[in-house]
Amino acid sequence: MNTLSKKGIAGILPLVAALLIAGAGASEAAIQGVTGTVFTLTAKSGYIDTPDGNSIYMWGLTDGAGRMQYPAPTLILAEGQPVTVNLTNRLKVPTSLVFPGQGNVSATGGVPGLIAMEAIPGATVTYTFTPSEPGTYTYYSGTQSDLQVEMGLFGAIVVRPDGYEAANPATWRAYAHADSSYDHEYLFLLSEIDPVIHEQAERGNLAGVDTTKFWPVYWLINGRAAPDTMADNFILWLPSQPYNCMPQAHPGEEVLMRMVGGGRDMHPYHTHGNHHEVIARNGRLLGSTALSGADNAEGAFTSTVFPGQTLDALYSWTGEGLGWDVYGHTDPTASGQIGALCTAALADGEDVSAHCKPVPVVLPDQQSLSFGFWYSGSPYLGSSVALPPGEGGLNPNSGYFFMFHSHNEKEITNNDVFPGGMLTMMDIEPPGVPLMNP
Amino acid sequence: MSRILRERMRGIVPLAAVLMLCMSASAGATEFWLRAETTSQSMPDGRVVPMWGFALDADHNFTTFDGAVTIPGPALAIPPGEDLIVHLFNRNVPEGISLIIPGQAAPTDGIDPEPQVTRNQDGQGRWRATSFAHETPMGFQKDYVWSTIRAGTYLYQSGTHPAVQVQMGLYGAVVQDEAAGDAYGDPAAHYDQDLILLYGEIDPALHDAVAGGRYGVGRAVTSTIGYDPKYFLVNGLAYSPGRSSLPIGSGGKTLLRLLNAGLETHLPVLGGGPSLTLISEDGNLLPYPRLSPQVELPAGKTADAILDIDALAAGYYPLYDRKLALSNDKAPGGGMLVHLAVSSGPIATLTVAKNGTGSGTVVAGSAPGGISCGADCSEGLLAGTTVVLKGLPAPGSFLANWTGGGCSGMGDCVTTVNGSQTVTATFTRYTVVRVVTPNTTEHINEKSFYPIRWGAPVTARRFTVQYSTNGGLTWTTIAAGVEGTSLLWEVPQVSRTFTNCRVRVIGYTDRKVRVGSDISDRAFWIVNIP
Repeated sequence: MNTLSKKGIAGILPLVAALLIAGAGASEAAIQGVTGTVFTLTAKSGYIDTPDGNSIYMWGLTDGAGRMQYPAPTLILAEGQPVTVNLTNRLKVPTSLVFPGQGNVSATGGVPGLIAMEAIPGATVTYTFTPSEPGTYTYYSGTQSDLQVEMGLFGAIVVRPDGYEAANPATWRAYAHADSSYDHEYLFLLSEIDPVIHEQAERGNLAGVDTTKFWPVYWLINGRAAPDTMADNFILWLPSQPYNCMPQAHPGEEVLMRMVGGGRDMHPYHTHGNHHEVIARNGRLLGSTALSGADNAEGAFTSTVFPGQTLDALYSWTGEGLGWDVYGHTDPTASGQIGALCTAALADGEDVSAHCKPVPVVLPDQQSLSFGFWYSGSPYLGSSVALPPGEGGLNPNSGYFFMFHSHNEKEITNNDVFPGGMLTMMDIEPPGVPLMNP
Repeated sequence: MSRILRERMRGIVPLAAVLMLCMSASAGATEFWLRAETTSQSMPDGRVVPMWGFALDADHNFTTFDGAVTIPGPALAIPPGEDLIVHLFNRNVPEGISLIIPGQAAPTDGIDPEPQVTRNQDGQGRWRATSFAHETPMGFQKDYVWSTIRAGTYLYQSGTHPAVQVQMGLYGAVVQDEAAGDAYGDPAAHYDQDLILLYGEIDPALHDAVAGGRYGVGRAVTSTIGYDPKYFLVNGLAYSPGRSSLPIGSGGKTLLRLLNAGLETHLPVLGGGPSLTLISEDGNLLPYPRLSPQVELPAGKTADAILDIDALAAGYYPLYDRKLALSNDKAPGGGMLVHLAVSSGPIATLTVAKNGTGSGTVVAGSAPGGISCGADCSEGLLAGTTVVLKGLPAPGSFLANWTGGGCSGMGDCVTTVNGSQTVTATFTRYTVVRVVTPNTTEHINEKSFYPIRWGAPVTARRFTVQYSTNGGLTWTTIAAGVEGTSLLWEVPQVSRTFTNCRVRVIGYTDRKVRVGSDISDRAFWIVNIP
């Protein structure tokens, strides 16, 4: 049996669970963005905040009026539906947008540039295209891109396949094949910032910018550096960085990671807890034929995301191989072995081989431990033990937290201060707990 | 069997077939005469960089030094089934050089049956490998013999001290097809025309150090650890407005052979919509073609991609680096950008002329480039192409007007080239600082973008630009240290309409000595829009 069909079977039970949970009213899509077929985007300047207290001058896009945002709005499109993007330029330099992977983009109202049709300051250019293939894509400035992408003019595009219905989890797939079915989807749009370039732009000294000296010191996911990646979407104190990256799932559920290289460096994106399976690259399923699904999917625990590239990967976590029953279905009579007296039913997605096995060590006394923010006090999912005052506290439902981060460890800092940067946590919540970020 | 192992096995069978084909079809060896020389190359900003390069010695003797030295070196095309012999003459490169082809067997010298790694003793008597192949010292000639060649797209390069020698320019492309019009013996690799796109970089400080004898143990620059490239080349050239498009045919399938001889990763992206079909990496046919708008091209990588020209409209398609090496040193609009021309239909010639009392340069500021006038003042373009021409006045001059091509005024000239036509830029000489716009009683809306323009004498190089809403009683600085003769002003938001506004421009020399200043002749309005 190949890994995907194994996953396919493993995915069936959790899907049922997801349906049950969806019935409880928690079925909102987790990838934030703008939907529709006509988008009115304005390029303008603004500021973002970094967790170390810095405020950085940016150029970004906004959908309609309001502040520019970083990254640009995620465009959530439907396969086959023609799209119009009106780009109005409120920057002092010409700008444009390119949509790599979208065939037959045409532009009206602009003037030609080196790479794309541009809007001069104060003017509007209109791009039209029809997204013919579902998948994950990117768009960004095609005008002096070495400067303008750095300044913030890039975003992600999600093209929903035919048959996708937001309210019907049975239709959730990234591509027109069941190999891309998922229970939850999250965006990982990776970028960097070299604040020197931004300071020069803020002073109006564009002639002084030397992009060959690019030396980033901030690394971001969806426009935020850790720990802001884990704060809510649309929080008031990050008004120009609306998107978080707080992946959550229950054991056994399939998580679709839509990874996008938004900046100009490569990032080795790394998952803890389990490997992931890359099913698509640059908006195309890794299949041997158009109809064969993801039969060329590649397992990885680190995927290098190149600038401008998109990768779709599936991730799930069941506790398999951990060696103890993460649900705490322990044999009440001692011994720690699977025994006749352990009558607990298997949980959805549970690893049979660990059923009823207690954690195989005696936990040290609390006075001998130091605690992380996400420690519940218990090795079991959904149970907690009182911790000393001030310890733990970021894990109210006693889930398991696994770091998802750039494996270029330099990139999990904020201007040389660890931890931060291109880092977030994958939160495996106990079965039945509604997800805040579904 | 695991899925991955199965895939590997699939790869082995065609490989075995290729090897057998090579052995059975050993029709002989193709010979090339390569001459290595020191040379230099001018960058778009005028900087002259010392280089080392190869020339194809056309008369097959190394006494007359015919054939031009190029960077990259000449592309070596080996006919299907043939082996390869390169006669290498190191005319004046001041250290031993050699040739290797990563992905092919190590070459022999044609005398010894075994390839030789060159080793030398260092100052402490330790043996150090210095070359992946036998070396050719300055003034010597040696042969490099490959008795089998695998079909595909490869780099050839110096195998000696490659961190420096490849960087200095000793690299090129070597290609062999499995059969004519079939790169890898597979329907996915059939093509009608091909184009080599060889990426490279230049760190001018390293080149200067090597050429100036300041590179090496105990010298100012001891290694390439501080590698800091400033110029980014495709086929040896950084993009500049004068660069013409590269034809990729008018129909059928085009094979793009992408190679990276630089030390950094590059990511060629084809703009304008179409996806490339990636068919091979490092001379290995992929088991399944991959559709993608961009190709990952790390250092030393080669990749082949098919572009279906029949599916493309005639026109120009930018191929740009998504690693964003798109400047020439700090000057924007350069680097790893080429325009690929899908050409069918009539060609019209756009010609640029210049007149007036001043001087300047006219460049193409849009795809596909091809004009830098300067000296390169005309370009044949697909009829219907719209071109943006930018007038860049020399110090002391001002772009006063455009004529022809439907252009006029002091901004950019946007003209559509339907038939052959001439556009003339008028540059006017200035001997004092003079505000040109706004200079009349015009009404300018708040929050609009307005171009402030001025002329100035040749000594004035940097300008402070100010405005006043009270006829000059008080001034607000818009920008300081501005170069050139114009500034795009984002007109401020105003609470009411101001009717007595002026602009002041103050010119300074490069050494910040005040040259002169001027104020708008007439008051203009900044109009409040309720």
